[in-house]
Amino acid sequence: MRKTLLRAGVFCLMVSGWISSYQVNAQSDPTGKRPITDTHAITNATVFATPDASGVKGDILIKNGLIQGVGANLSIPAGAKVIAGDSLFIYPGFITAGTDAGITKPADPEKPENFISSNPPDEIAGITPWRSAVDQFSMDSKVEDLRKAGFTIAQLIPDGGMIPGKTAIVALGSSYSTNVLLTNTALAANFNGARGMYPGTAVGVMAKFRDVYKNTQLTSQRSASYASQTGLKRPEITPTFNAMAEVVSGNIPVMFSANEELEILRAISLSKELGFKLILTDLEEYEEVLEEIKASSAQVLIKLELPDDKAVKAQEEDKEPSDEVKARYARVKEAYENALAQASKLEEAGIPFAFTTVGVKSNDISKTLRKMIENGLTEEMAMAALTTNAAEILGISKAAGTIAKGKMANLVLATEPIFSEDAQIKHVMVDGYLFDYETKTKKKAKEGDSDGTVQIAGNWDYTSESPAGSSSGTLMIKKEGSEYTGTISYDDPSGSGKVTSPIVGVKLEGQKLSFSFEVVASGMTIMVDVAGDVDGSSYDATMTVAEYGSFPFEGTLNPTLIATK
Amino acid sequence: MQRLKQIFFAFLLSVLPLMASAQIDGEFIKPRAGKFLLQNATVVTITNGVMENSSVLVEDGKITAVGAKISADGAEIIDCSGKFIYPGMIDGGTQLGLVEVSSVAETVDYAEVGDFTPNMQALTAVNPNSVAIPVTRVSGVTTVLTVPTGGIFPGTAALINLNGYTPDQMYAGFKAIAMNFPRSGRRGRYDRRSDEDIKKANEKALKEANELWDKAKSYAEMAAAEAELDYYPEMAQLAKATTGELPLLIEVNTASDIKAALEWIKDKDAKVIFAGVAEGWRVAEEIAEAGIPVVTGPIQALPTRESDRYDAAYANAGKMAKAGVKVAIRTNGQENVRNLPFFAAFAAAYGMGKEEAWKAVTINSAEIFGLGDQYGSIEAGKVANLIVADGDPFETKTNIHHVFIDGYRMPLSNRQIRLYQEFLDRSPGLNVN
Repeated sequence: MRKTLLRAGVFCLMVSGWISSYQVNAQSDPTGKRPITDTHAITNATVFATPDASGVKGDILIKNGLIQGVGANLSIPAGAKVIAGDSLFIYPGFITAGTDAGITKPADPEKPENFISSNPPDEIAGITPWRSAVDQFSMDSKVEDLRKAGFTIAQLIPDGGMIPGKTAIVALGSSYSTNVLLTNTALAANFNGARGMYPGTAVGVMAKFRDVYKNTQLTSQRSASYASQTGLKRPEITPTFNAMAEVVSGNIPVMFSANEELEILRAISLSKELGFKLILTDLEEYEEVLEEIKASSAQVLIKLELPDDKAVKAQEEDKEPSDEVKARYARVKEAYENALAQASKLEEAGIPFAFTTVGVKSNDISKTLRKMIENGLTEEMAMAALTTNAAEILGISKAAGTIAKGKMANLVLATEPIFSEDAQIKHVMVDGYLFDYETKTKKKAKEGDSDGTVQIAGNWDYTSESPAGSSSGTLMIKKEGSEYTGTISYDDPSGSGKVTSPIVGVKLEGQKLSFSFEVVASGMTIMVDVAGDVDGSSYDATMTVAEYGSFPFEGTLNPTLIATK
Repeated sequence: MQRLKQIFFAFLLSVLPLMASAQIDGEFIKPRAGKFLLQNATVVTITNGVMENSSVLVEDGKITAVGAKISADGAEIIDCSGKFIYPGMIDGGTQLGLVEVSSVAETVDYAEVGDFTPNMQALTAVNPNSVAIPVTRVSGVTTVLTVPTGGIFPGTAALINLNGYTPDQMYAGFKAIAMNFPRSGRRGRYDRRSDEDIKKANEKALKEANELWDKAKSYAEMAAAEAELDYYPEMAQLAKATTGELPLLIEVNTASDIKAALEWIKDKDAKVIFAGVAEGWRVAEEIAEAGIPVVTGPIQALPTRESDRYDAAYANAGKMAKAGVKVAIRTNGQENVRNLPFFAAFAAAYGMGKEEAWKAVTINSAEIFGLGDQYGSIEAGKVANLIVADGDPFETKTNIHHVFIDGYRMPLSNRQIRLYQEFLDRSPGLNVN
């Protein structure tokens, strides 16, 4: 029922094209969570209205989910919630052109009795173009993490097989509106074969894609003539053909997920051969095929993630490598550095791009962006990729991407220029709804510590909060030479009592302490990363559990149990 | 009661030939207004002591005269020789009229779904024809505060007189926004949460309460500044509590919660009344110092802690009154609001004293609800809510002979009395042999 309503609502939106007039939300709210006013005024802030603009001091007036004005000395209406922006830096809300946050994969259908693995039904083979990402979406903690990182609009990528379904664009707004902006924006596709049935390989997937595409063309033509003439064989109507018709007619593009060069070339060749509009997405390795990408005029979405430097760091441990090993090390290092500089090469080649965050940890995004900028990407291009380019690719430039009168009130309010090391996001505004985040004041290193570092060796009692409840334990850190090792105890996820795991990768940079450990839960090994600031005897951190989001983690140094070595 | 029976039997005999058909005109006595002179009674005025051999004149719904020698033309004279006239009792907190049969969900209207529903008006949900109302009246209770329950701000309580055919006719002129102050304690043996979880849950609830309050406050400010505001009935209603337009009735029971509530209201411009206050005696000094009136009850209850004396709940009201708190008594009942005089009697016997206990069910409640000039005592000019009894109504053996509400003479029949009369002296009876 709810979904029907939602679809009906979406249909109305699509008929009217775009949300042009604001619907007054005439509903009561027995939770008391709805804000009392949607009129906001941000005063005297440094506003970066477009990616190429420099910061200008000014006010922003927001009402009805729209930016009503930007400039100096705007007249602020009575009842506006005023945010003093004197020390804030304001950017257009970020847009991710592809995300899997909040998406739950639908259950696989039962295999029929007479199942033939060389010719399976579409739905079982992962060909489900009629599905909509909206039906798989819910506002969960991963969506909240994404919003916390500054993202205000996301294109949802449905989960499934080689053709999982249609994407949709949503605002990551409050629960007091439907938040769906557009549905059926693109067809998601990838080169992942089905398990134990045709198409099981990339080649099979390509063949099947052609097959589906061509048959849709045929069916479309036949349907057209069948409607106007008698004496024709009836066309085969299936949900697959119905859903693919929009792609074949050129109304919507195909978003092909292509991680590396070979897949990129395959997607480009398919699009050339069949003639569909192409958006290349999830790009990770692409510097060798920049020219082909440019020639194809496909739109480009790169994955907002960089490889970690563990392998490069490990090289330093090896004090006397042989020449052969040295050469190998040099290759590894070069590959790592190339990966960091890749995005800037895309910029140099003059290919506009935006980001996707499928499979990306929201916590790492700001760091990733900083690294890309350190390695040659211009700040302007990084911002464009986050805002205007993404809006362009998603076809929502009229409503989003810059700070201008009449656009959706999607803003990021940061404490420092957004790409600087110390920048923290204090508020994110989506659709005129303000989300507040805690910011930490930068602590000065305490005097008395030699070289300004903090002491972390010892036993820490910690507590952490997660949807499964609060958990606590002991974190023991030992100093060995210049390295740290240790263990952490936690509530056994698959039973009762405590389990202890060794902690790895303990790093202390200034006051930032980070480490990781592995949790084994019901046969799966989950990597848990903890990172945060140490201040005296308190440790205020965030615990990121792969796949499940991030949670607060607070530790206190237990003074009676200093572990000595 | 005996007399009532006699009247009824005389009446019954006169209509016996007509009893073949079930319902007869005139069988049902309705409340009637008029000019009544209640003569030669002992008038317990509550505010001006006890007046022997005095009369009370009732006209146009008001008490127009109280004194020794009153005569009135055209008044219906009711001889009250040997009887006592008291002001009608006020119950400071019930769900009367909001529930018919507790176990039948369709008839239970005191809880709305949602944590934040201050705009739910108890008054609109009151059923004037509830069978519990006549049952309550014959006990001498003429006015009750009926309070919604539920989430943190469950609704708006209303004071009603137990006479009228519509809620608006019953309305006695006082409303308050109910609040359930976040509870910090364990909710009984079944509550298996760790201490830390309880603490966290309480902190979260308090934070929510603060957020709601702050929002409502800014709503009020914006409304005053004539800003454009969306339709938000919940906030609009709570805003009235933030400006003091409507009082805030805070349900709070344990000592630590009472302290927290006293702290919470310090920086707020609300008119506050505490309700429940089961452990008020532990922090009576602080409540008195803060000048917060309380509506306490139910009196006949178990002590809150196993280490308490058996009479902790009975003595609570008296201890608070001694400390200087303005105390009113409530039953917090649904169908047993009729027990209010006996609750008050317990409070009286366990340290409150009869005079103070009477105040706690009459004038104190009226004053706490800001209606001290209209209800709660027998004085000329006040609303004619009176009861005539053959003793002290706090005693269970006392019978109430007349009840006047709003100047209406109320019929003293109810479902229980009708059933009693129906099945008394049956013919043929049950032959047990």
